[in-house]
Amino acid sequence: MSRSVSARQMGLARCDVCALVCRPLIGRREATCPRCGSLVHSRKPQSLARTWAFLISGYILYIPANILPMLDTQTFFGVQRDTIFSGIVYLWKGGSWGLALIVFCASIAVPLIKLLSLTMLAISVQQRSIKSLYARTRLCRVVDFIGRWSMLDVYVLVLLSALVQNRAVAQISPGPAAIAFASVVVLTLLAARSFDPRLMWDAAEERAASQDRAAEKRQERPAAIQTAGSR
Amino acid sequence: MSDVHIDRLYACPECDALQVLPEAPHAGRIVCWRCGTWLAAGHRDRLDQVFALALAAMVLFLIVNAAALIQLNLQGEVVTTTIAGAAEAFWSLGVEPISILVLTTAVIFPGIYLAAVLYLTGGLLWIERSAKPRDLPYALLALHMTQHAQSWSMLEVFLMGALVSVVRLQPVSVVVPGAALWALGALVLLFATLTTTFHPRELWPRLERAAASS
Repeated sequence: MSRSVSARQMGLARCDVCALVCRPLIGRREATCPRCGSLVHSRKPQSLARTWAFLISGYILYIPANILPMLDTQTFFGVQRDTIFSGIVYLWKGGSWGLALIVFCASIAVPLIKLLSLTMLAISVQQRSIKSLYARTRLCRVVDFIGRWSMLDVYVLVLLSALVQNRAVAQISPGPAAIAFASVVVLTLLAARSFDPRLMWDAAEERAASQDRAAEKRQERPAAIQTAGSR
Repeated sequence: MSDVHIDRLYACPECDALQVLPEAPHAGRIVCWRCGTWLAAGHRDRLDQVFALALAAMVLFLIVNAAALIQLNLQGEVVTTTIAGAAEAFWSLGVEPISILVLTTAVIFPGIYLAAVLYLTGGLLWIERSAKPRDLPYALLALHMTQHAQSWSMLEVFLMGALVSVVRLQPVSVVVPGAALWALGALVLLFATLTTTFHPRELWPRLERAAASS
């Protein structure tokens, strides 16, 4: 990789509101943008700690969200309790394969992929990994883009139970998984927003800088030692 | 580096690589040279386009929220709902946070985003055209709002959710997609175009120019 300079190395920071690259004005408690006055952080504050907190809560709630029933449907024939998965099976059997696939992706696959990807990303930052930085940055963008789609089942739940409520024919109401699932969705969104991909590039820059220092040291060695190594 | 204007100096939001933005070409996009993140659209000075888009989107947004989204015919009993109506009906079912989540992501944040973009672009265009240039009040607040409201607006997901609901209700009753559902389809397209055309970064130099000449 060719050598690059990040804003942080130059003592600069990017204002997230007006995109000005600036030397932040240091106040008593915070740094602000000289142009628009917003708070400026070179990196998102406590990025890793926050990401981990959201991720762990997300993993815990992912279990009840998928095991407990999401929708209770009362008809003349009795009560039917649907989990997220049985709702998908219902769509599939009804012939709407496309929709079944979309709901499966949005409700089961996307939250899990998000949780796993962010875990992988957070671990890679902690290990100061410099491998496949480009691909990992790309993964961040994908996670950001697909994350919102897990809201799908929350909307379906609200629309169904709002429309079929206290009717003579049927009654649809949210099951205990509803709040767990909605929490998973919000937690994964928050986890993705608190993760700062720039931390991955910082690791690479630190590695490059330390290699430079090592190279300089080797150069400074006395000539005698260098010749002794080579036959 | 000394001859580069500060507005063209840019730090990538994803990897923090410092770079100078090229003069914008008329088509295409500008990407970070190190990590490939999309930094800016090729076009510049499209404030009137953004304003027109936001205005059209706002009209559709009002229709979406006023008209019926889905109509049910439950054995002679006709039931309709709007987005806010659905969130309100859900409130009584004991899971209030979900009601709030739906109301904010499908109504409040998209509304705030559209209103803020309309205010910023409309206000700036008006100031630039008027004889007496001046500061646009609350511009910073509006910019803050667009940023947060955009990432929490999920209209396209809501549209898909409404479609899934229509299919799932088919066995229970006769389902008629309401006017709001069609309007929502159009709104989603406009909203997506708007979010890719509107860049707060391009607004700042113009806001400053308007303020400086007052």
